[in-house]
Amino acid sequence: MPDRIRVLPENLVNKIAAGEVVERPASVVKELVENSIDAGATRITVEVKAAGNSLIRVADNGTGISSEGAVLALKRHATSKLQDDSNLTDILTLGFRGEALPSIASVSQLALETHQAEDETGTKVVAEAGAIKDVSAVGRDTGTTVTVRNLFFNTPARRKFLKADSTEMRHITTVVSNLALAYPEISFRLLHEQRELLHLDRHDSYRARAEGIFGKTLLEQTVPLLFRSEGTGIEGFLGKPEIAKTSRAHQLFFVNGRPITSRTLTHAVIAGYGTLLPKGARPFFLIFLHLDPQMIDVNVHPTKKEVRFSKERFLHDQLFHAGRRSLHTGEIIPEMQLEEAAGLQRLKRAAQQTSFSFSQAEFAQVKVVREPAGQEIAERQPSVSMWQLHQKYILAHIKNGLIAVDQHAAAERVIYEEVMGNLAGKPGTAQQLLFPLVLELTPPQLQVMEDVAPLLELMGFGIREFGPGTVVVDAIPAGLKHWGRGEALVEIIDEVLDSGGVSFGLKQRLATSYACKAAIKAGDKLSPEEMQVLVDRLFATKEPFTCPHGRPTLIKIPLEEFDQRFGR
Amino acid sequence: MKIKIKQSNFSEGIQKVFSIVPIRTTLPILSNILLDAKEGGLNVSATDLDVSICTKIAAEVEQPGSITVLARKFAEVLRELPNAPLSLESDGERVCILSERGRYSLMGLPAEDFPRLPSGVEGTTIQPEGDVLAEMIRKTSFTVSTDESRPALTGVLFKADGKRISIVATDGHRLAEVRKDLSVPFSTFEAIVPPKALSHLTGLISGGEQLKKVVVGETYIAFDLGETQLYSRLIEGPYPDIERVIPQANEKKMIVNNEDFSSAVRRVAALSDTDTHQVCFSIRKGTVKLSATSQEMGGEATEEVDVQYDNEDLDLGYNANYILDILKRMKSDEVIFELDTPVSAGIVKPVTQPEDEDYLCLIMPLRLND
Ligand SMILES: Nc1ncnc2c1ncn2[C@@H]1O[C@H](COP(=O)(O)OP(=O)(O)OP(=O)(O)O)[C@@H](O)[C@H]1O
Ligand SMILES: [Mg+2]
Repeated sequence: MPDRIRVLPENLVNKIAAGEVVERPASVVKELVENSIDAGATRITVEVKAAGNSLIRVADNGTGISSEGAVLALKRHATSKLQDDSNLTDILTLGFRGEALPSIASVSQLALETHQAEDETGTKVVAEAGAIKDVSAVGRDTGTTVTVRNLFFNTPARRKFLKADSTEMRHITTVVSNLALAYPEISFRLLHEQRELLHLDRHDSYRARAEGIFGKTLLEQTVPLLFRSEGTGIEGFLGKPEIAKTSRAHQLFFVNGRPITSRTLTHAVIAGYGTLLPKGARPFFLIFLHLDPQMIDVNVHPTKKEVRFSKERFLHDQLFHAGRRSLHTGEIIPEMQLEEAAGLQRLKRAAQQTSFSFSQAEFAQVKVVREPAGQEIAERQPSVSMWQLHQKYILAHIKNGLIAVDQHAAAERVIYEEVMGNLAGKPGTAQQLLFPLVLELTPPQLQVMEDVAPLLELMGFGIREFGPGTVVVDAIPAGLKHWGRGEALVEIIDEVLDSGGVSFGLKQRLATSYACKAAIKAGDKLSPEEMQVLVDRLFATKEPFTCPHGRPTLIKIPLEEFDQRFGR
Repeated sequence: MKIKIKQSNFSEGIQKVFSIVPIRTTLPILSNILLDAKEGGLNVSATDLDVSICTKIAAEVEQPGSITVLARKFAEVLRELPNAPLSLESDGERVCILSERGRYSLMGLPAEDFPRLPSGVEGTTIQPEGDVLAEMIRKTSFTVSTDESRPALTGVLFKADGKRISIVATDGHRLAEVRKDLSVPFSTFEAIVPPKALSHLTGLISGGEQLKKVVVGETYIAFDLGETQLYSRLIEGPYPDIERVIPQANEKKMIVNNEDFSSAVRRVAALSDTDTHQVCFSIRKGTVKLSATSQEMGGEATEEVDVQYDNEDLDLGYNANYILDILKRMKSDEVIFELDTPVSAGIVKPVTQPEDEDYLCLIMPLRLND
């Protein structure tokens, strides 16, 4: 990195997007941390007091600045990162304007302490309201520490606009953790009033850093995104539809290490989810784009929140396809239009929720396909054409192609949503058993059982008598087909145990686990009626296209694909 | 092999064994039937390894011999031939049917490859009347379990204690038991019979076949119907002790008119939940209110039925299909429900039944959420 700081010529200054750099304490943190990152630091510590109002200190172990440079750095338009005009389109650093330090200095009492490895001593520059008060030599390690005190002390009007400390602190934390996401190779610490809010060790992957910030469990609920082509690299994590929220969700883009917002890119990702997402749901995602710097213009927004892409449409499409592929693991999910009002109420309901519907017409011209030997070929079943493929998939004819439904995954989705309904206060129906089942449990299993028993009761289980090491099950959910000797219940308990006991997301885990056990399996033979009921019910669920584990429940093979393969 | 045989006899005989032929099998020869021409006639056999059948068809055997042939195609050809004398020939590789003007020839598989049928089952012999036995089976076998994880319950229990024979089936949600006094006493036995064999048996009996005797062995049961022999492997026990779970002292008795009650349940059930088929019985003195709701369809139904009941109020839920299955088999104008609590077993019986018979069904309720 060219380290000589110089003042930019007038003509270049005029080209730089001007505007307010320092809006609030978090802006100061952002600019200072970005400078540290640009300086090649591997360790950055941010310390604040009174939510940044009384003190912000950012210390790094980067290259440091020479003593002349340190004075110059506080001057407007002084930067080491831009050398001449052409460089404006070739920016690899976060900073480029030479605006940040002087802007911050002009509204605070600032001290810059820095030491370059090759210099004998370090330098300390003290400024107040933008005016340099003192320059002195100091002894310190290589690196830079910038201390900003009493922000906005000379602009009381600005000070008034600041929000509650908690709000400002949230902004600061977001700034630091967002930058930290993009630079896993740098360790970050954030301290507020001596309290450590973030402590992120160095890592060699985005995933490890993201786990440090969002937690392992959340990352497990994502699918990786990876796409490379010439001049473009896309990498990231897409949250499964199950963890989408209707309120705020983390949706972050980084372009060459710079956190940005972009409506176009957001649109591309959401479109990639397609019908996997219920209406209004906002998925979690983290996406790191590595683009040829020539393709982007970062000089459009005063705080660099937005960038301009030279081939925006192209990038949109690449991101859309990459996202879609990851989410659907190589398969195609149907996108069917809302047809004219389908007869059945539940199909209509499903249609509203998912913009999907089979029209009556689609099912119309069909006949039951049965074993040729069966003599009672049913005429009475009018209009269904469904085939069971290897007792695993249900193939159904739709208007413009074929869908294949994974019978187990589909049943899982249906049961999952039913159980979630049960747990949300609509208890399931319990079938009393003539032969109650005695289950022997180990102490850890028993512990889990005691905790989940109220939920199991809501699902329709009847669980009695916590005897020494045993429980008696005298009722099971009325829809449960393969109850057997109750192994399923013990397996469910074990799964809850394995996935970390009864804390986080217990209901979901219970429902997922139960759905998997209670659902028909691959290999179960289904009658045409059973297939019909299953498919109808699947489309009446809120998220018909994925099973609770996030795998697809169905794929669509459009007629065009057949045509193509047959060379028509 | 070379025989002369009448088309009607031949086709009828094939039909008797045909439904044992498994639809799908990993052992190709099981899709075939065995044709074995011996002195005095043609024996035709089919097996799915669990259930086997053999029937003897009158024929004029000129040259004995045996072969197996694809059942489905063979039956189809035979069915379509005119009722006239046919000849059947085989060189051990092909089977050939010759009609007056036609010639139908099919590739066969060697008879030696066909599984051996269990000949000569030894054990306890009983001689129930075919119609009576078939009726007992119809009254019980509908409650067998389809859950393979408890194999005993997938079969129908035949049990004799010297004076009575009882037939029981249960899937853990409901149970049916019919007991019949025996005119001729015989020793005790217990056997769990696959329902497939029994439905085949009742089919043969209602088709006019006479049951001569039943032999209950260790691992096989044999039904002797004169020209036709039906064998079935038995399911391994033990069968649960059902006497222990049948309540003896259900005090709350409700008597209903079978026809009126059944049709009311059927109507109300039309709007019940498609998964649980739950219908609630709100039983009061002299009346029961049936009700059902279906969230899926947004349906609700209630109907009141007059009944004979003079006990405390009782509210319980049942799977309507279970109730209807049971009521259908109660050959009595009036049916009695013997009930206790909303979570314990209820008993359903015909009010009038033959003197030597004792039939009851047990049904476990659905727990009501209130
Ligand atoms: N932590 C640091 N370590 C080393 N050099 C620094 C550090 N902070 C600032 N500098 C130097 O001071 C110069 C001015 O910093 P300043 O943040 O004002 O501008 P900039 O980063 O070049 O551009 P921008 O206004 O876009 O941030 C930088 O170009 C850099 O050379
Ligand atoms: Mg900067």
